[in-house]
Amino acid sequence: MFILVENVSFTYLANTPFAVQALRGVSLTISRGESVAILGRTGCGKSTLVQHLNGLLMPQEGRVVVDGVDTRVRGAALKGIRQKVGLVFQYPEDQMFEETVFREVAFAPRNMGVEGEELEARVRWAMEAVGLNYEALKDKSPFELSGGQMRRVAIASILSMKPEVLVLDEPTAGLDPQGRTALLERLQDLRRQWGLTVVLVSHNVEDVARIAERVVVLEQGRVVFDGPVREFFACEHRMRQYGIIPSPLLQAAFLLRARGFEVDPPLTPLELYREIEEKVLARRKPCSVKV
Amino acid sequence: MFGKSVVIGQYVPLDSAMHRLDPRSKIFFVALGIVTLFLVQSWLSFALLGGFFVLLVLLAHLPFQYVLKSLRPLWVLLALTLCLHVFFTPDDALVLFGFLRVSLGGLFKGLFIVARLVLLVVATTLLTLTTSPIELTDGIEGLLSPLKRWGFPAHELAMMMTIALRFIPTLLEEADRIMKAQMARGIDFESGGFMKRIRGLIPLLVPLFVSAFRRAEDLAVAMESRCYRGGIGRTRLRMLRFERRDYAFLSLSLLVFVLSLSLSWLTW
Repeated sequence: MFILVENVSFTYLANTPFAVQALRGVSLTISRGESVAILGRTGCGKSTLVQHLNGLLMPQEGRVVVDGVDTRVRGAALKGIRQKVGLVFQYPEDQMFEETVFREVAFAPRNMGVEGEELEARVRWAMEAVGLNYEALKDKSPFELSGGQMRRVAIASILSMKPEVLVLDEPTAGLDPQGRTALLERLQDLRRQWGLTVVLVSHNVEDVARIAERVVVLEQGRVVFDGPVREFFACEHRMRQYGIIPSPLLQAAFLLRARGFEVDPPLTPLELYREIEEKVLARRKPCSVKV
Repeated sequence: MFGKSVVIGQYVPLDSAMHRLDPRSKIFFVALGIVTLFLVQSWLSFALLGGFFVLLVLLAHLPFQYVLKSLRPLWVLLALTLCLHVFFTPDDALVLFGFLRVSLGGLFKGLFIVARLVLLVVATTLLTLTTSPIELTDGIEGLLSPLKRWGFPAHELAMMMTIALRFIPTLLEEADRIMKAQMARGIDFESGGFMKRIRGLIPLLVPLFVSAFRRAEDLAVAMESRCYRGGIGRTRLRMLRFERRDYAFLSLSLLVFVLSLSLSWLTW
């Protein structure tokens, strides 16, 4: 396993009247090449958990081990953990400050001591990996770009560290539909082509269905579900119980199931169509379906 | 670290007699208390005032360590004051350490000043611990509004203070988030030389200013679209009203202050 989270608890403002316990004994392992979605309602501890994965927050109880190194190290080893686990915050474009896109994307590798040709190669790779035209954009100001482009520059500025795990907190929030689709496709490519491990924090069931193979659900700082994405999507009651609203696709499948068709939870429109073709149309009584 | 580990101001939200007082009467109390503390000259008066403050802390249901915590930044000042008085009072020396003379008169004088400073801080802490920043600005606006007659922009000042206070936690949270985002990109805010640290602030300050300007613009638009046009004819959700308890509190405070002043003059 690559990341080990063991019995981690964390309380904000501990020992004050304002104390809020965000994590209560969370245990979790993430292996190389996996794609995991962390789901849960607002305030369930998702963001706190991901900040533990690269040592931005230290566990008050329990431990977090990344590639064999406990995150409670200091100095170069901590930088090494942050390089291995690239964390993209929510609205990452808010962190941009450089004059050109090139300098923005080069910021992280420079902090890691990368210089010269290697630096340029990395910036080019990172920008192309998220579908940005290196030559056309490298000298532009990041503040002139469109929202979707800014988001991708911000993600490229983490990718340029060549992390082994990419953790994204609500990467599609506030993007228009085109920007969202493009970004999700790029993330899938990154997994397929470069074997990147992806951890996705999201409310959005559609994003999760497209990217993740495994789902971890947090509720009030505890892990309440950890398993394959299809298993989680199979039970509407459980999804709603944890405050997660099924995507329209899943709702359609649940409606069919409520009427006695054994439709498996679909991840894509095509899958739903195939399921309907195979299990509903084959039974030749489409007229009994009242929607 | 900022953000969730920092409490803005010192306000402790409890429900107590002190919390329920009108902010204006608490501001009055602090102003009068400060004047009294500077005028009184006897230990007896200090004892009386100190006892009164302790009573108020009890009334406010505040744990004493909160009050003591507000003294913490003052330790250096207090120690320095005491030392200067002890060593540099041209008085009969009690003990001699080389060139240092320890004087008894100086020790007393030093302790006296320290007691005065401690009581000053306790009095103001009583205000800030029991009054939320918003109540405080409301109180200040209330106290300044008689000056409106001469064109003093009391409402505008209070609104600016309210907005500033409102956005301190937001900006701190934002600073915390940006700082973490840059730390995730390998920047190190905690080590390196002075110049390196200063340069390290650019990745924090530029995004912070960008978002502050954006927020300011959004806020201006939001206020205008709700027809905000200054204080004239504006009504309030929470009206400040002097209640019986405020009169009681102020009379009691006045009584204690006058008593301690007269004690001081009698024994002087």
